Amino acid sequence: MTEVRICHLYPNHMNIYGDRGNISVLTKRLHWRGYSSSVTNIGIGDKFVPDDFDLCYLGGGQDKDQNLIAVDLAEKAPAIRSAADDGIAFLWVCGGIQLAGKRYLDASGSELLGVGILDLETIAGTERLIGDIAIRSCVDGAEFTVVGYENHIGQTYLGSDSRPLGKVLHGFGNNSFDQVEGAVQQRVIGTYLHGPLLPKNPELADLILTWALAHRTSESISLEKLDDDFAIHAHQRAVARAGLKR
Amino acid sequence: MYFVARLMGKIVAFLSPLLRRGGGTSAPGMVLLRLHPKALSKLSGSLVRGSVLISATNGKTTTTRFLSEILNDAGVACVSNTSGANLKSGVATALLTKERHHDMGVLEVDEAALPEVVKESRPRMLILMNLFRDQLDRYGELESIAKRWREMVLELHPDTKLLVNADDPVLAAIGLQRPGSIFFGLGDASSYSRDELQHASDSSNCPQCSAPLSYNHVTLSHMGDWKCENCELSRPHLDFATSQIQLDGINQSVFTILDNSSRQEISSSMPGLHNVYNALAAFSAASELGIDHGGIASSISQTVAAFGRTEKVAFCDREIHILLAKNPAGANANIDTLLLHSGPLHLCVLLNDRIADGRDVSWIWDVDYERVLTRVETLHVGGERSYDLALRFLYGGFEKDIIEVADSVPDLLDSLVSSTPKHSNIFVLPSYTAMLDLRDELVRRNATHAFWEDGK
Repeated sequence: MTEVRICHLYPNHMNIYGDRGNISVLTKRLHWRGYSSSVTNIGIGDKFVPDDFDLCYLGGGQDKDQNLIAVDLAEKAPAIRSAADDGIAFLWVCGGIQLAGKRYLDASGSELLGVGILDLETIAGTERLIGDIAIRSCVDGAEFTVVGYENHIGQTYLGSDSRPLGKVLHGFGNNSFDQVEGAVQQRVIGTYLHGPLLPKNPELADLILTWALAHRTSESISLEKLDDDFAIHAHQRAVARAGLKR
Repeated sequence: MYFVARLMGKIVAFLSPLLRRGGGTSAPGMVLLRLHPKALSKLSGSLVRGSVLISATNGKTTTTRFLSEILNDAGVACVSNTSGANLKSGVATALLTKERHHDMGVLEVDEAALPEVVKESRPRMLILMNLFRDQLDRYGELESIAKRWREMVLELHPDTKLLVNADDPVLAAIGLQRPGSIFFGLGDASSYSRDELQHASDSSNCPQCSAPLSYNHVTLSHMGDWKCENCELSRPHLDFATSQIQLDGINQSVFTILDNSSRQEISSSMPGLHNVYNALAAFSAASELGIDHGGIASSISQTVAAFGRTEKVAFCDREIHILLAKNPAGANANIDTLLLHSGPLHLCVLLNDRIADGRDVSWIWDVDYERVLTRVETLHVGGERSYDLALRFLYGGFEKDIIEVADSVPDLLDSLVSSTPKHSNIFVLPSYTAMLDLRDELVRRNATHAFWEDGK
């Protein structure tokens, strides 16, 4: 049985928006299709070995916790960059998208270096961008709507090597100006959407799983459909509340 | 000018119950504060015995209820915001509509509103009970509330007595900043504590040096008997401590409270460890206010739950237990409580995302619903975010077939009755406005009273 090996980075510090929900969606959707999975928690002081994983998840944290992990993450950065180059699937959410970028400039103007697996930088804004959000995504030829909740003070700007994850239909997105949300580069996805992200967005979950399986098996696998009745209802309700037509 | 403002507030107070706007629990104070922003300090000055302010993420309403019952029984007439309107306007409304004979205030205050209310009302006593992650979209990070509380305590008037839950590391550190703080906590909770921290624990790092804390026992979330191996900060000495806690199912709890010189047996009809904390906080406060311990114990034993807080409502030959669950720590405490029940579990979880609930519902993924997986006989989900709950349970390992999604409160009540045998206990865990919606429907069906009539 093919096993997808998931790395959950800093689960004790970066877990503020129900992030374990994303992990449980990934593992359950594999399990329901007859694949097995393993989840390894990698925290401060643990070594990150790129060859050990097919998928890497990082969630959001409080500022205090984000500062606690920053030094450790800098030590892991070279290994994480080589994992991204090897085609491991990455999903980095909330604080994650900021840490995946090149750098973060906080309110006092001091610079925090990111891992650099996404070509973007983030500058602390003056007002938090909070609320329901819906975006239209087009990744790897698949087109779908993604719904969630955003709550961030960072204003994120993409460089030329990253594409946005989607166009904003409702809500803010990366910053107050560009009307786009998230970033995609190689098999790395960064996004501000939580809620958590994956339960209501099965298409996105399956895209990430397809990438992880492709890394594991070096084959392109098409996943069988699941009964996504609840997800479709929840997704449609979110879209309807945002005043959008699907 | 103040008298005009006060009069306007009183007029609104007279009118609003007639308009059925939540029984007028906030509007009069809102009008008064709009017309006279400094009204709170004037109103507080009208209480000859001063006021006690109570704040926490969870347990404010129940503790306020315990303490006001104790004081009223002891002959101290208290005004209280029993309906849970705890923003500045709710506090002002309670004081504005107080009766002539009331000479003390027992008031619950919202965590974010607390620093301003404390500054303006200069309380005689302040009780800080716990801080958990809650409504991140509204309150921001836990740490930002903690920081504001820290500054508030440093500026407290010297006459204000501070009572602090020593089991919450962040709050204990805040209390230790100020000489003379009184600490309470669960002394011996070994029989009900867990070995490891729950997933949703927030403050499990040392408030002084940020090293991971170690625990002799964990009670709820990050609370317990904690110490830091790195800088040696530890839970302060308990001035009031429980021991010999016995949780008797969902019916009652029995425990002993020890202070430096005496011990007092307590029994309470409010189940669960979280209510032991609430009773302990009220006991400590009343004791510090000079009420005799036997009297306190008798009042605690007679206090019944506030609306929606482990409230029992008889409905169609079934008993509906409403256990308000608005954040991970509160929901987990309720799950602990319903696991004390030995019979089959009929569970119903309701979730809205209005402002009073928090617009961001991601917190349901931090609740350990999986713990009831093997015990659940029927499972209903409802509210505006019912399908988010359905997904939560589906990915939590519950079979899709047992997850019943109700489209409206009337449908929900009908389905609860048709899917459970007579004399069943049905446990409902609603978010705040979902609880109000459920109670509205129960009131319509004559099963209970309106919430603004609670405690009257």
